Amino acid sequence: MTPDKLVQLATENNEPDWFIQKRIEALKLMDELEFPKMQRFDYHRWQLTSETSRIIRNKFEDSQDYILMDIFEATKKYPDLIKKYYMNKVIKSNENKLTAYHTAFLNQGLFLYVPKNTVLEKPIKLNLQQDSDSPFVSHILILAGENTQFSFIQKMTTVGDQKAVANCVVEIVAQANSVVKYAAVDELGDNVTSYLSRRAYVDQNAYVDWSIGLMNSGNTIADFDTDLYGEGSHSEIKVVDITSGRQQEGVNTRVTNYGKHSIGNINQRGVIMDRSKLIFNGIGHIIHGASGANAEQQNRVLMMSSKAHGDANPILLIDENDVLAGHAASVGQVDQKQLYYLMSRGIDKKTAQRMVIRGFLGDVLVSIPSQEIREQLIQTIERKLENGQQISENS
Amino acid sequence: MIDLNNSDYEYGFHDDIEPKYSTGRGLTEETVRQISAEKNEPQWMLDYRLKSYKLYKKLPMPNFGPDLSKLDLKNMLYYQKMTDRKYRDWNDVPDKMKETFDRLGVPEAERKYLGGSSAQYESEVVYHNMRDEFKKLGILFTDTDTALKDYPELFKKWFGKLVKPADNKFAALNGAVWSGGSFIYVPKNVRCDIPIQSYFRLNSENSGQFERTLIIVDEGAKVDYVEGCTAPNYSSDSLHAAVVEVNVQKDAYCRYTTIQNWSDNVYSLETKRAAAAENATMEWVDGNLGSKVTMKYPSVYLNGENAKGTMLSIAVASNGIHQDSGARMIHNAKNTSSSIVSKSIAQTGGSVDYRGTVRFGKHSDGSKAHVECDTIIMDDQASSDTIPYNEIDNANVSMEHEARVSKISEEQLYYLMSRGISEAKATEMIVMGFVEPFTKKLPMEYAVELNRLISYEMEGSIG
Repeated sequence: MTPDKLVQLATENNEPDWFIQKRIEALKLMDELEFPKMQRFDYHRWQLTSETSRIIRNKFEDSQDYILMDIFEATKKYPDLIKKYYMNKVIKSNENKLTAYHTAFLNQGLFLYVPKNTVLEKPIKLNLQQDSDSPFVSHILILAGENTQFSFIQKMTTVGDQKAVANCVVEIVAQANSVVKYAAVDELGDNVTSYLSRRAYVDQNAYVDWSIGLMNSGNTIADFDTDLYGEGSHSEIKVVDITSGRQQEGVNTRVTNYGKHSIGNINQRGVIMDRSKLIFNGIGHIIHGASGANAEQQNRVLMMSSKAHGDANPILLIDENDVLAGHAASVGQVDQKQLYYLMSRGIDKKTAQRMVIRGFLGDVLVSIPSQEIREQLIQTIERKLENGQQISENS
Repeated sequence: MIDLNNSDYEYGFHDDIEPKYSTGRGLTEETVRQISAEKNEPQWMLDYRLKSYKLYKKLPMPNFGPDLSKLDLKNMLYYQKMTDRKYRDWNDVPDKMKETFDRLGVPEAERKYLGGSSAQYESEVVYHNMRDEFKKLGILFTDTDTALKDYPELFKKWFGKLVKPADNKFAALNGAVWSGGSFIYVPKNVRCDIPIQSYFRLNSENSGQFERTLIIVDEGAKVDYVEGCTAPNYSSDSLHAAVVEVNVQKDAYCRYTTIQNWSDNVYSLETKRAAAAENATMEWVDGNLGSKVTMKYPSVYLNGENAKGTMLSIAVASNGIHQDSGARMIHNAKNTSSSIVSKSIAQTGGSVDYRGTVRFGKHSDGSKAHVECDTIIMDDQASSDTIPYNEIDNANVSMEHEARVSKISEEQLYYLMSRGISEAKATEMIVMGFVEPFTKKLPMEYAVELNRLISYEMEGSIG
């Protein structure tokens, strides 16, 4: 796409000049930058970029307690905040080809700002829907002011069956003493090739809790990161992932401890079915100076088929001595004793299998803060497992 | 702080022996031809060397791990022969060289507790000997060059079977300029219960040692092999790029123990690989105490049903030393099992990494793997990376991996000190306890030596 066309599109969308300029700069960077590095996973043949031809504006419900608005509207109303935080502080547009693509071709998004000292009882819930006739380049920017507490729940689905690209970025800025619980169920369709990048910047004594159900049906690259900058900052990342059919997924989950006494834990569970491939890279990185830091991770994978391929690579990079870091990884199959026990109680094999798998995922599922999202996720998991079982039967 | 400063390195002396033959500095195709001619090798080996040399020129430097940019490959001495012949009696070994090995305790060790022993000085093995009782059993133990001459068929059958020159740049370099190393063949059902040792010594500045070790343990046989390595301190760097191939046949057993204690100017870039057939057991015991940079990931290809592979390693790094080591277990057959236990200690600016792979192939039904990596970081200048890859292509397997990185346990320290033990002694005791699973596996005399070495390095570590 020529810069002129992009300027025209953005101008039609009534974007401020500085925002259009940011797009153009990113567009120029795209050629120079590399694809994000994913250990042990080759995806260079995937189609992950495609030109945006229309920009979608969304309406969000107002609230007295917080600001939730379309990202393009926010560029006019809160230009200082957007300039400061959007693709600038948490994730930078010049990090790699796909973050540059995101900045250049952004076509929808939202800005959530919860001001200082606000505690929200009810979670903020959102359903994002991709229409497969267009790439889905969506952005969520969450700014949690000091001493705030809230939950944010997001669901993503696809309508339509054309081949499409998704590039979804979530940035969370958790200011001092805030508590942010973010939960997501990703259910993009099998016609969608997606890049998901979610990252939090966590300040002093703030806490960010991620619960992610990665249930996409198409090929997916995911980067889930937390940067623990503040002293005493804390993050828990929980990911459950099911791959089936011929789907391929590469997931990098990373926590970087910069702050003293920061705590970062990763807990991942994967179920790999049929001929699918799932690479789980967990990275715990403690930077020099982060004394008293703590980083733990678990990567557990269940192999459901001999034609499947799974990797569980837990990586620790430690530049500081006064720390406690550890990881555990395991790969195995459905526990035969458990299966046999359930079947001896008259439960058919497939149901029994699904029950055992749910038990395996249970550890992560129970720690998802919202009951609603938990139930939704369980339903999605059931559906995905049933489909997977169907496929293996037919093949 | 633990003082691992290599100015105290007790094997850092060197002696002045003029080589009988040297190819001089640098490496060209001509050097490769010269080495082969000097060794009077058959044509196929020259061809193999030339092929390896071409690959060496083509292959890139490793794209992971420690910094190798300061490794000066242009000014290296690739081949130096120090004696005209190999000796079977220490009294015949030239005095200066014998003195060196005496100081290193090699002849004494042989007298006391070895079944056989060999010593390599620069490029060539200068001494090797084995007890008559083992010779009578038909065990072949010689240097690799002699094996090529004396057992051409056996040699050709196994040489280069596990490590191809195309494997990596330094395996290719070894293929081109290899010299020395041990050749061991243990015939069917012969069990050699006393360890056999090889000792590798680098002496000159900027020299390269490219030994090639080939071990074949025939069906039902057993061997316990130990190697040790030291070098003098120099301001410029030396290179040790060994290739080791171990073939463990059906029902056979091999334990391969390395105590690597190079001085802090040696790059140790090794390729070690073993294949274990049905019911066979391969055990690597690997201690990395010295060197400037180590890159070493011994592997076991578990090719036969019920084959077993284990790796037990310790690594100690300080003062800018970078130990990048680990293990690779490749499960290619049913009901195979592997275990990796890695213990690392980093201090005073050293980096110690674990880098490993466990792979379950398509045909590895019923296989199991267990990996445990523990690291102690002693002070705030040291660092450690743990990079394990676990690749699974089979649903009917199980793998467990665990790793921990921490400083010395304050609770343990506090407990010991509350019992009136000094901080220095308490720290040493905790470190000794930490590496105990490793020292327990060593032949007794080596365990004593290793404990002495570690304790020596701990001296003055506190206060």
